[in-house]
Amino acid sequence: MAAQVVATRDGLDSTSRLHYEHRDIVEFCREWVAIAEISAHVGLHLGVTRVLVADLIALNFLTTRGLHLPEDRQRQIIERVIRGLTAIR
Amino acid sequence: MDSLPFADAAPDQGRPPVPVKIVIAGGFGVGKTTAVSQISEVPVLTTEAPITEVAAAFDRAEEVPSKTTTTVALDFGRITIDDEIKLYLFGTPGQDRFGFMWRDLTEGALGALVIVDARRLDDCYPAVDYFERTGIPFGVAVNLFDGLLTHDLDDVRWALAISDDTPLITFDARDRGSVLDALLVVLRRSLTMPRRAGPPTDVTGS
Repeated sequence: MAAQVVATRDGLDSTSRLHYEHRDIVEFCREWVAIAEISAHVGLHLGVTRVLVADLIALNFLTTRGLHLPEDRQRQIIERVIRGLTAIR
Repeated sequence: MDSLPFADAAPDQGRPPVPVKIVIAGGFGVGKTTAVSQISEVPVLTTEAPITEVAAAFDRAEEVPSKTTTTVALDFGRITIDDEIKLYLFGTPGQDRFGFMWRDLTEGALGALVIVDARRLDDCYPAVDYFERTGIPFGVAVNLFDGLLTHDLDDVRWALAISDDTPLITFDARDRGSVLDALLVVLRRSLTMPRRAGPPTDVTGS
């Protein structure tokens, strides 16, 4: 649900041919966003959003990136998050 | 949207952000949504529905004064950490009957914060138990309703049967700095806690 997706050029070129939920999703994904954010924006249940996003990925209208970090990067990422949160504290 | 210059809409070449998440668990009315909304840079997505009579009986809402609606599904917020990292905060009900969501929610999480109402400790047992079994780093934060700690922290630690290594703090879900401090406690725990090798073992039982 935090996994990031973004519209492909194919997807953005095809919005006029898409049904409205699919079109709304592709339009919203002009920048990288989380699936949960799409769900909030489009007003669809998270589970429904996932199905529609999977449709769009299969059509190559969206592309995704998962959540899995290499083990050796995890520590560095956590340290950066700590610094980031401390900075806005 | 269609009038946007097309050059702005070529994100598939852009560098993808690294999403990370912290899970915020706890019983109904314990302050999860409040905590997330204090620090999220976007309006919190919340699915709320009035507590039905059946659910009210089940969740003993009568012990929580002036709570008229409750979060039944999921709420989340976002904090942009830097030009690459986005931190997501996902709130989830702590009860066993929502356990079907936990695996998805916690997959890849940096850690978890369990928010506790000291008057209703048993609400958070399933979440504490889940995080211990799966080896997800977590901390426990007792929300100080009205600024009062109704139980001694040592008593809370004993009642929850959490190890001395597990951070246990008090906090105020309405206070932004306090919520950030609670997340920092979780992250520091995440840094020092040895990681289990490989994915969590099967945790579908019980």
